[in-house]
Parts: sequence; C-alpha cells; structure tokens
Amino acid sequence: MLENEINELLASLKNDEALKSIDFIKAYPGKLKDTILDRVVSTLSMASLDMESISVDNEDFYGDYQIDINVFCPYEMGSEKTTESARKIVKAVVDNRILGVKIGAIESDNQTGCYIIKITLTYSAAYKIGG
Amino acid sequence: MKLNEAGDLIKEEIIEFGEECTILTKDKDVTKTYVILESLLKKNKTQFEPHPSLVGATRNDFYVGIFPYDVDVRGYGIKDIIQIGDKKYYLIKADRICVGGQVIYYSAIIKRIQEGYNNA
Repeated sequence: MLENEINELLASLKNDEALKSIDFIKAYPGKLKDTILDRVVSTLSMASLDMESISVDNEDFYGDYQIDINVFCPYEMGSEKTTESARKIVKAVVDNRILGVKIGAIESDNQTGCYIIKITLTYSAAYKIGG
Repeated sequence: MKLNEAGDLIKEEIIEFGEECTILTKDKDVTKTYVILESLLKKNKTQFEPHPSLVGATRNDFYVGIFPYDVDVRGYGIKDIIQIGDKKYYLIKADRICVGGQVIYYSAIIKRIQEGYNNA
C-alpha cells in the first residue's frame, strides 16, 4: 500500500541538499541497527489510507492518505538536533499537494537510544477502478 | 605502599582464564589489559532474539566484565571502544570491588556493539 507514494517521497528527501546530514530509510528495514547511531535517521511508513466511493457505479474513490516520518536522533546529539531535523524535513516536504502536517511531541526511546519526533503528512488521494 | 596481594592474585586469574582486550578511547588513548566476560543472556532469556524497531532490529547483548585492579575502567563511556577478539563493546557502568581498603578488581556491565546497515 502506498509503495509508490513512499518511494517518491523517499527519493525527494534523499536528493534534497538541505537534508544531506539525515539518512532516510523505509521503516522496519529487516536488518540490524547500528548499536551506536552517529547520525540522524528518519523512517518513512504508511500511517493510514481512508477512501470512499464518490460515484453511483462504485468505480471512483476519493479520500486521503497519511505518511509518517519518524526522526531518530541519538541521545548524544541532544533534543535540539531532533527538532532542528524535523523542522528541516517539514520545510522540504511542504508543497501544494499536502492537506495537513502534524508534528508530535519529542519522545525518548531507550531501545534505540534516540529522541524521536513523529511527523504525519496528509495527502489527498483519488482512485478509479480499472483506471 | 602496601602490596595488593589479593589484587595481584585475581589479576593472574584474569590473565589465565580471561581474554586479551584493548580499550581505545575517544581521545585515541590505547590501553591493553585482560578481562573475564560473562553473558547476561543467561539471566534474561527474553533477549535471545533481536527486537524490531523502525530504524532496524536492536540487540541487547549485555555482559559482566571483570577487569584487573590496575585498569580503572570507571571513566569509560559510549565513545570508548573495548575490543575483545573480533568483537567490540562499550561500557555501561563499572564499580570497584574493594577488600581491606584496596581495589582488588573492577566489575563492569558492557554492551556488545553491533554493526548494522549503513544507509549513508
């Protein structure tokens, strides 16, 4: 679900010069994480997809979808680096296709040894069966 | 100065039954010593499998390390690498063990460093 949308967003974030200090990956890479992260890592994943039929023949659907970007910043870098990275990411992704941006509170996660901020981006979606 | 006979005795045991280890600090200082390791997996078997996380699976391989009295490991931290064989660790916490006012060895909790994916 939303593979194309996530891949497109991932490519655009990776190619952004202002975000060169941040690594972007798809969430749950299925590999081991470095025990000691020495950089900021952000993960992209699908948050939700909500569509409903808008035509009598049930062939046209309209709604919205959300993509989560979780920003992981090692404790040693401090919480300010986390908020700064989140600010840079939001600045880079906001365009006229976005319906909404939600930024969560900063949290700590001892399993990864990182501060985390979750950014949820909302986009509109249209789908036509057989289209 | 009073001789540390108990400390020397334990040091000999650590050398005989332990492993050679090199501590490389963030300031590039190198200390060579010996350590006896015991995995804490035996005490917490829930840690056998890696835990999935958004940024990749994490492992909690903790060990108790016994270091000789003449290497004070208490000042080392996450940036100081303890190399034992081909494996790397960092120190979480250390205590000195004293008898009669003399340090006879240092007991430390160390964590194995895993090399994960490198996305850069």
